[in-house]
Amino acid sequence: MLNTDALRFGLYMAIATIIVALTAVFGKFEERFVIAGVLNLSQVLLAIIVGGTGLYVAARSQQSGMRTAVVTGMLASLIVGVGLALVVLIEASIDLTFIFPDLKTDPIGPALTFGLELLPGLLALLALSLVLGVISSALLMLPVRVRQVGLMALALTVVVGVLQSQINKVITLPDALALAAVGGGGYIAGGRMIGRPLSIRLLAGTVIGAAAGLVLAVAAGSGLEAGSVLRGAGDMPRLLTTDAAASMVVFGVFGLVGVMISAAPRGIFYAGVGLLVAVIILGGLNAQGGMTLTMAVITFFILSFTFWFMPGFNRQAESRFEDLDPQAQQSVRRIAVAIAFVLMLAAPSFLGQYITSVIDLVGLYVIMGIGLTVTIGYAGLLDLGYVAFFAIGAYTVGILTTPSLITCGGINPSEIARADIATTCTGVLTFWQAWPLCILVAGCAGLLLGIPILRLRGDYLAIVTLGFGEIIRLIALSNTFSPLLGGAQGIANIPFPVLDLTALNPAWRIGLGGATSIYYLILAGVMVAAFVVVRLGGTRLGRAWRAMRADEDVARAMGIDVVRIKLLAYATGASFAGLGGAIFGSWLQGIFPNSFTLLVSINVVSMIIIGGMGSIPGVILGAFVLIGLPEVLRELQDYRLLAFGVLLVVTMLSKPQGLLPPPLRRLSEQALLYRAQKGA
Amino acid sequence: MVSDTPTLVSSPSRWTGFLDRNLRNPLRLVGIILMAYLAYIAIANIASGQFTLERFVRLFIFGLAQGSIYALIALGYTLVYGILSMINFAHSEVFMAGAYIGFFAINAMDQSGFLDDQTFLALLITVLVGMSASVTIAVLLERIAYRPLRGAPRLVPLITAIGASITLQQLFLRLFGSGTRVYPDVNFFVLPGIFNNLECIEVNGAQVCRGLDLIGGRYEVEFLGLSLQIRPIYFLVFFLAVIFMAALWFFVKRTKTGKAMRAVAEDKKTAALMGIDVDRVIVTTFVLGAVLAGAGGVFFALYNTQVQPFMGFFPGIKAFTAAVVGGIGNIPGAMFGGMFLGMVESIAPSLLGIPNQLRDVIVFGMLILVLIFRPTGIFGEVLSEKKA
Repeated sequence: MLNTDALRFGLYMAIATIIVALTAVFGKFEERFVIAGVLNLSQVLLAIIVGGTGLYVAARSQQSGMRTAVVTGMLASLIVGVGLALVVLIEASIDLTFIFPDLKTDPIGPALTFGLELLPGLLALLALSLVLGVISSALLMLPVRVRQVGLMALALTVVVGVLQSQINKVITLPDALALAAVGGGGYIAGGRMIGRPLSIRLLAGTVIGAAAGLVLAVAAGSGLEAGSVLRGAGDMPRLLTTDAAASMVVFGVFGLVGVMISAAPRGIFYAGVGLLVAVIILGGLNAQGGMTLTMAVITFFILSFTFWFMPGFNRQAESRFEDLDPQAQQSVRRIAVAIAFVLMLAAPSFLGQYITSVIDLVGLYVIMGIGLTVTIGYAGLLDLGYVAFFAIGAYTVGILTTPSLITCGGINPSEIARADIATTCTGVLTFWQAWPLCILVAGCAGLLLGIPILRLRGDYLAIVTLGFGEIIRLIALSNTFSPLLGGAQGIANIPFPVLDLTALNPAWRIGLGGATSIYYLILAGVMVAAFVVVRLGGTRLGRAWRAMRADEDVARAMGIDVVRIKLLAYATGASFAGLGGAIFGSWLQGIFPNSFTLLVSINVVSMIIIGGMGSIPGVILGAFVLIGLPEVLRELQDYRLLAFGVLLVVTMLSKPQGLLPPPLRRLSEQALLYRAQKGA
Repeated sequence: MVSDTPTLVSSPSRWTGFLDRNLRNPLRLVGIILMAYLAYIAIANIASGQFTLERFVRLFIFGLAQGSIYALIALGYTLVYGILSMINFAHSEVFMAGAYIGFFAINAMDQSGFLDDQTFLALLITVLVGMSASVTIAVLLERIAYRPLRGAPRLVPLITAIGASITLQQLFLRLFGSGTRVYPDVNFFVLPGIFNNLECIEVNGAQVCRGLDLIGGRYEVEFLGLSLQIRPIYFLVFFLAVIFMAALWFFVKRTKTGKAMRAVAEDKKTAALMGIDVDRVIVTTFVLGAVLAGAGGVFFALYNTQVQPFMGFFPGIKAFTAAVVGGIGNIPGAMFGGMFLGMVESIAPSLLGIPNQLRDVIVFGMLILVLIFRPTGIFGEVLSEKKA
């Protein structure tokens, strides 16, 4: 008996797919290849929708027998295929372009009929959905683990393929293989010396790595002409041929990573393995000049291999780690953090301008997200107007570091002769003098906003804060305040921060102008923000916030000054947004009021909640998912916000607690740990 | 600093009690000073003759129409909030969908000539199409995005609602393009017997007066010595909105389903124990809100003529503000709040001599002012927040 419930799902999917098709997505996605010349994103999307429907439906009717499941899955896929075929037919017979104007430039028909005539094309579409349905439902017959590993590897391969043009310049294949080999060597060495003290093992790993780096750099210098097997279409290997000293350091670090993962807790182990695998795949992409068919197959196998075997190695590493004494365990964790820090410092020079600027943006949002974690995550006060403080920070840095009404002593700088600006506008500050003021001004604005809404609860807060955000934007846009704020043109020519160390060395005058140098400023900002907020969470104030979030009346009854801590929560959150705004203004070297829309606030709030409210790793993950991902997929810009909205809904429906919720009983666990240490 | 604890000293009269309450609270004091200042500016502007009565009447009539639209949308927010205690952020898109899909209906009828032949029927169909589009979207929204999250922490449905709002907006943008669509010119002539000097044309040499053009007309009217330019559609929108709201009021207060709605709003669990199908009541609520928003969307588009995927954003936010000003969850509050907001938005900029660019600043500033004095809105009941 067929499962009608499951088939109804197929019908829903068909309707949804028709709507998606009418947005002209299939035509637009044709331009982006996942495997160069073989497979484009449009076809991948088709396969995901049709195959995914088949798999889901088959899985739902699994209990009524495997054969029924496969037939149902196949039928469901076919229903979706028929739906698409219908749209193509309708498009061919009626002019839909008045209602759906995008179909004019990107019609559905050609994309879904694979360049064939209409009728054979439709038949091919139906046949393809049938085949995809059978294949995807037949996946159910495979053992669960095989299926999971295969699908995960496939999904990641597709992701790598989608990003290929942005990530194929990161590292060359010879470099990558050498690094991975050094990492592997470190792993083996670490495993062999498992009984020895930690310091000796780590030292050995580093030395092995560094020595290997030196030897390889000297030996390989000549043998890597362009077009050789190893280099392929790739660039000149940087580490192996250009810089022996730098390569020793980098290889040393990778040797250390190898040793580390031979005995490490779960998170560190997977981070290390992930790093090595990523390096190999990135190297391959470079050598092949993108995602070719060969590269796709190789990527798929590397990933399957990793997913299949790593859990076993992980268990081994974990049991080795548990055999270490607590002090050594602690140092492993610390060294892992140190390595991560070193890698973060080195990252911009490998990732290139574009990816670095994406990371900069992500970092900026992380700073804001960490700030808002205080307001929403700790104190439980909703704030939908967070962008206001971001704007205030940016405008403050803009006003203070350029000739403006304030820095020129109340005279409009446009009325001052160009030559006199330097003498009249004596108040112009540098970025380093201005940023504390930005934080201060934004914090005060947070206090000011906090006062009128102290007595409001829950949803009233949402609209008032949202209104506040709009007020700030409208004031910035208005002509009334344009002498100070620049109106719709905003503020231009904001100087970038200059790190002036000429006192130490006349040559040390570093301008943090581009994406790769502002990266360090943002990184520092993120670290300070994370440190402050994490530490704040454990203080008396942090506990008071949590108490208020849990129950305001009880908190008041326990003697907590609710008014004071509410205002502090707003002010603290706002200060971080002010810092973010200050960095933003001097990074872009200009401010436009239209960068401060409600969408920024929504982004930050969504980041926090999707990441898991109150957890800093959650904020970082949320920022990468919600800000980084859409930014990298810029060519698909038209669909960014659509994907963003769908992502918000789907994440909340499937994981209402967020992706990385903060550990629940952290305080009590710490107390237990403390007691255990004291007792021992 | 800011506290609401009642003083133990008994106040001798209402008036001194009022003074005491307001002057002791610095926030309210600031609010009062601000209001007094605004009143001073307003009076100064009127006294100096910058703000004439003619201008006032003109703005008042426009505010009437705008306020009715806000009230219609605000009712949707308030109904859903009253029952689910959640902000249906996607409601502005429900409004937009009504106006946008209504465009396709009225445009098709305009092309076929049906709009000119049977104007009333065509308009009715347009409103019905707009409403059904809104209802479809609202029901889908409830079913897909909100129902699975009932009982989740409060912020979760809020984020889902924001996500749904962005999704719908972007879906309309990608489906129907980013361009602005313009409603066709509608001329709907009524009462040729009474308005026998309007809209006259020559037909076969004889002069025929078609009466008042209710939708597209603009008339110069001399009234009590004031010369006014009046669009009848503003009055029409106002009266239609009043009819809709009266119908809603009747539905909620007099029908059995309305009673069930009030019961569910009061206490979901007890209502379920009394044999009320809570899911059905919630869907009904969404449908009611969508009917009002869809109708509002089409009315709005009839006098504003332009529709595009982002058109719901500002009316949506303002309607939500209106619902909060009136006291969210309170039906008369939403009606009053909507009208009030429409009036303020229309009249205040020129009354206070504030540039039109900063119109929305006044709206939100007023919201904050209202909430200083009545933190739960004008009609909102002072209830302690329900504990989950």
